Amino acid sequence: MADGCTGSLDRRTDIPAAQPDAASILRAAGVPVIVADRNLTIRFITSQALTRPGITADLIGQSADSLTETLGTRGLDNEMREVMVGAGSRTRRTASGEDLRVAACHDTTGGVTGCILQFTGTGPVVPPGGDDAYSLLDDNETLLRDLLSNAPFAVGIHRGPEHTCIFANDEFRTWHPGVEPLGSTLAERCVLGENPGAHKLLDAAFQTGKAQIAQTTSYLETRPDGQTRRRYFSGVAEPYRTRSGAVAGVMAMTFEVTEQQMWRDRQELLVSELRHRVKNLLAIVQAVAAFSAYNASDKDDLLDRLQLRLEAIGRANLHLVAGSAMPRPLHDLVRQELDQLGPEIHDRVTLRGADAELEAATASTIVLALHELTNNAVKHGAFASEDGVVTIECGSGRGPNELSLVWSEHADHPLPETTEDGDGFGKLLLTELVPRELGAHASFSYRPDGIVYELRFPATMPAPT
Amino acid sequence: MTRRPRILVVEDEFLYAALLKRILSDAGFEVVGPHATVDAAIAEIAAANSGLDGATLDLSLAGGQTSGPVAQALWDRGIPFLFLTGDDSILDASAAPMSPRPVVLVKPVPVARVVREVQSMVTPPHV
Repeated sequence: MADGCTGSLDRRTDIPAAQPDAASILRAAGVPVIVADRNLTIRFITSQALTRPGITADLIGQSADSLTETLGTRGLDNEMREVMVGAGSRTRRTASGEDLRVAACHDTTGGVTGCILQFTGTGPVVPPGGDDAYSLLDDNETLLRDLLSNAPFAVGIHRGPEHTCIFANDEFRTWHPGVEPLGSTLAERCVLGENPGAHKLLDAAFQTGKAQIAQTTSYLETRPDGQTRRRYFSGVAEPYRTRSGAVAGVMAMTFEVTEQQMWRDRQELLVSELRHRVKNLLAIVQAVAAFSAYNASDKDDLLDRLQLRLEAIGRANLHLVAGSAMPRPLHDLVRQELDQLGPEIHDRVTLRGADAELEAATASTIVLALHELTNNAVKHGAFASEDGVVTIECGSGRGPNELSLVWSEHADHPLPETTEDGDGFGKLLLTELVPRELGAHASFSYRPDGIVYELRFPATMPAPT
Repeated sequence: MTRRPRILVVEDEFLYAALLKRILSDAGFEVVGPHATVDAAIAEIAAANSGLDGATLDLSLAGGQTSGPVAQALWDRGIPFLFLTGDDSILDASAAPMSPRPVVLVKPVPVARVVREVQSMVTPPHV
């Protein structure tokens, strides 16, 4: 197991030759494999491979020729010879419809030691601990190297109660930079206090003789450039046995699950953020409902205003939820609010001036202001009279980073002047709340032919002060 | 004739801030703020003539800020405060050292309850 910590360790040279039980190793790796030696004598069949039709332990010691008939793969023995002389790997389809990969085994110097047939389908599920069929292999080290060296997860094979490392694949070694893991005990590789999980896991596997699955653990990695990051791991410790059945050691595999963990963390953060937003939204609804009700004299009018305002809050909130992915040109926001009044309203509106892209929070606030303007025009202003029109002028304001929006209503026969816009909330919003929120200047004036509202606001939100 | 109690309001959601200002004003308090940022609130507290009698604090403010430093500044001056927040999950960390623990109201909360809690906050016990 990649023990998850680093330390200094003198390189050992007096390590006994590695002799783990290869059957246990292949079983732990869960690979359906048949292994033949250079003479094409079948030497090894994993329990996973024994589930395939016609594959039995009786094949051990026989020539691979016999597989040709069993698997329905004519010429398989010739292909095995071809891959062993360096002709790459092959894939055959067996009679039962599963793909079979044919590849050569090499030793550390690149010499060919045999041939591996690997079933690549999912196959039947085999409970762990099944019996493999094998004969003694000439060179376990070769087999391990072929199967495990380039695995995308860390594999370490450790012997005895001290978990003395007798095999470490490349990934395992990246866990112990500058340290030779072979021959080291777990205590030497990894101080107990730094990773109690690894000690517990390997001890449990060794003592009980049963496979152990690790809890997800994490550690803070310090990279050579001094940067740190937290990495998360999960793993399996599988005991292997001597031929007499005694537990000889533990094979441990460690998988990095940092991405999955980060995904989970992100989810939790999103849920918490969502909960916060929902509660804030309810608070906003509460505020708008209260303000709508304060000066209400007519229940139907209150309900009407409140529902339209809730709808506007919904549109405004979209900008906050959508984040930076959503474009927010000012002209579109104006059109969208006018759309709420029906398509024919556009005939009575002139929208002109330079368009500008707004930041999310600004857009959200502008939507609320526009809603009060359009709704007020419907109830008391230009849209309430037969011939009223509205001009909306967008511009660049007075300063370099200022935008302006001027809403002017014109009606030849304006309604009798109403100094209050029904419940007063619209005016409060337009003249006090929105300007303060945006850091803007606002003016609201009544003229003989209608109201004029001017808002000058920063092109981007001011930094919090 | 006593002056109206001065209540600092820290709240970054402008519509809710307006509601708080309205209900507290209607209930006879003088509202200071509302302030939307930690810096503005702390400047207000530090102002020599602020004479605050209490405060309501939204816990999480825009830009990832929390009103923890504001609570600390109030605590240092013995000014009572309550939390009025949509995010009570981060409260434990912020309020842990405080004793007695401040009242926590989770939005949305009836406005009458807010007024009641602010009233009992600024009313000295045994009176």
